[in-house]
Amino acid sequence: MMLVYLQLLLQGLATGALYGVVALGMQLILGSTGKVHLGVGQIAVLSALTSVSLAGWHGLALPWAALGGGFLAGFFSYLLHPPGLWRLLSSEQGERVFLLLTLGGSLCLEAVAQWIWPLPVTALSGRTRMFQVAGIPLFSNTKALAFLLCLALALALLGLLGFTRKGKALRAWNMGCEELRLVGVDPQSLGRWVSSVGLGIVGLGGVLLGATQVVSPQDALGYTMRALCLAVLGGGLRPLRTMGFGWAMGVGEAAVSHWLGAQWHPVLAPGLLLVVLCSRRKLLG
Amino acid sequence: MRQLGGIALWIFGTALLAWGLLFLAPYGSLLLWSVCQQSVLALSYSFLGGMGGEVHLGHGVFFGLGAYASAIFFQAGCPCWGCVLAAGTSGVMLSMGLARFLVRLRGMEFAVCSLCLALPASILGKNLEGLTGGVAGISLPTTPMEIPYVCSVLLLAGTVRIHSRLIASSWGRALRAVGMDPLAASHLGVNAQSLRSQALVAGSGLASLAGGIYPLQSCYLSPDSAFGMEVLLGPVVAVLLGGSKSTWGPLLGAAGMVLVQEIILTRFQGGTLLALGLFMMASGLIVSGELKVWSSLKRFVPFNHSRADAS
Repeated sequence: MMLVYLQLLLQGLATGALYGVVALGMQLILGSTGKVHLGVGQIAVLSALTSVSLAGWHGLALPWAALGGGFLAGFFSYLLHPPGLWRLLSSEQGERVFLLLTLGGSLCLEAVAQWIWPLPVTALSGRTRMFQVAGIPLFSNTKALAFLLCLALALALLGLLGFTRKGKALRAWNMGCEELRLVGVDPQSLGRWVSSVGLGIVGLGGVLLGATQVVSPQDALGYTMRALCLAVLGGGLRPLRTMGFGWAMGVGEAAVSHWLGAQWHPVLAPGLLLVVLCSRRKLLG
Repeated sequence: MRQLGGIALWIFGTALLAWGLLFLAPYGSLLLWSVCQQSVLALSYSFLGGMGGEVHLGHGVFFGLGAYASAIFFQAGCPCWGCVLAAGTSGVMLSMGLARFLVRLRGMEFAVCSLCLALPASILGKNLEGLTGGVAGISLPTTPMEIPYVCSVLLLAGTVRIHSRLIASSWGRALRAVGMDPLAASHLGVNAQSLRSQALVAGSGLASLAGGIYPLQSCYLSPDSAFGMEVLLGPVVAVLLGGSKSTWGPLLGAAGMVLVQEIILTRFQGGTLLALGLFMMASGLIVSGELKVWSSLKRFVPFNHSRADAS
């Protein structure tokens, strides 16, 4: 019985680490600019689907696939978030505009993804090596590698935010765009940079998701809600705290799946987010 | 005199719609029925979403709830009018329960919370198999085709009347003041929370009534048809594209959206999601003031869009 709980805990931690990485990308954008990017889940899912297809054709190793996926997601995000967009967002209606634009873009991407990948896909294969105790499979080597990569990424982001000039500028964005300009930072180019780095991290997380889970284009909104929930719970720009909440959510979902059934675990993130937003004031924006 | 003209136009429009629904070919009447349903959804959304200035992404949940309530009551042998009434009641009750928590939030927090309502609603629809039939949905016996059509026309006529009366009333002006600047509105003695609660309950009740009619016409209900993206985002897009300053804005937005969706559906399979996404992005650009095509088109429409503004 204890082994079953241990299996639940380890599986939950591995899945939660992946949610945490996707949430780190969301948090980087939300925590600095104060805008909710509703296309995050779709970028993660598209990266997962693309990497799975590429892995099927070329047998790419996971770390390289993750780096490549992150770079590609970042590059396309850089193209899709021009400085003009950030100029629009500095207006009074900026929050609503960003919400509508990212939701619309996400729907367009989902339509394209459904057309290319009508069925769910995964890179999981029977050849992955499992760590077993008393005949119960506890952990696969792919999930262990993904878990370590997630942890390394959270630490790298902590370093970026704490010790680089860009990181300090991102943390200073809360003061306002005019104040940023006064200290010599252009908010438009910083906005473009943060969206491409944030979505690059999301893309990297998406590749890891594709390597360890079954993914379909319809899952995107669920991943967006999880990432948003974790980013809100993490608060501001705190990667390790967000990762911690990610692990907690992964374990929580594993527990819900175990006791109530796998069909109920997607309720957890939106339900939690609803409770948090209704009970605390001014967590977004 | 002007009021008499308005009432005459209203009666003429209702009679024309009723004639169209009952005597057109099945496809034409179905299309017109869809326009009626979407119009009710858009007008009901525009209480809080348009006048109240919020992006209410969970408005479609009340449509879905009404649809399920109506289907369940219909299965139990309830007459059609009872099913529609039950649908409306369920929507009003849920919205009254949610209003306490939701109306305290504003802007992005409200939008995200309303989206959070939509996701569990769809999952509940799929998982509560004993009540909702699960993914397979609920199949219903057929009803005479006139019943849902007449209900839809009457509901649309009532909604148009309510909306046009409210938009120019002191209630509508106060709600728009709250939407624009809640602090200034509260200094003028407007109780913002109570007003927003009323708008939420009124809009949700009307959306649930529209949902209550849906299964009577389609004779089938599934989680996707009740809580799908088209239901959730359709009214948002219709109001953002058509505008919320007059009753005609949501009506034109809804009609235009149904027609475009229909054209896309008949040519490209699965194009509805793409169309919704593009509409949503266009709405974002309209809100930001970057896209001014629609506002210049409005000059050629012979309705007084600024009447409510002026009042």
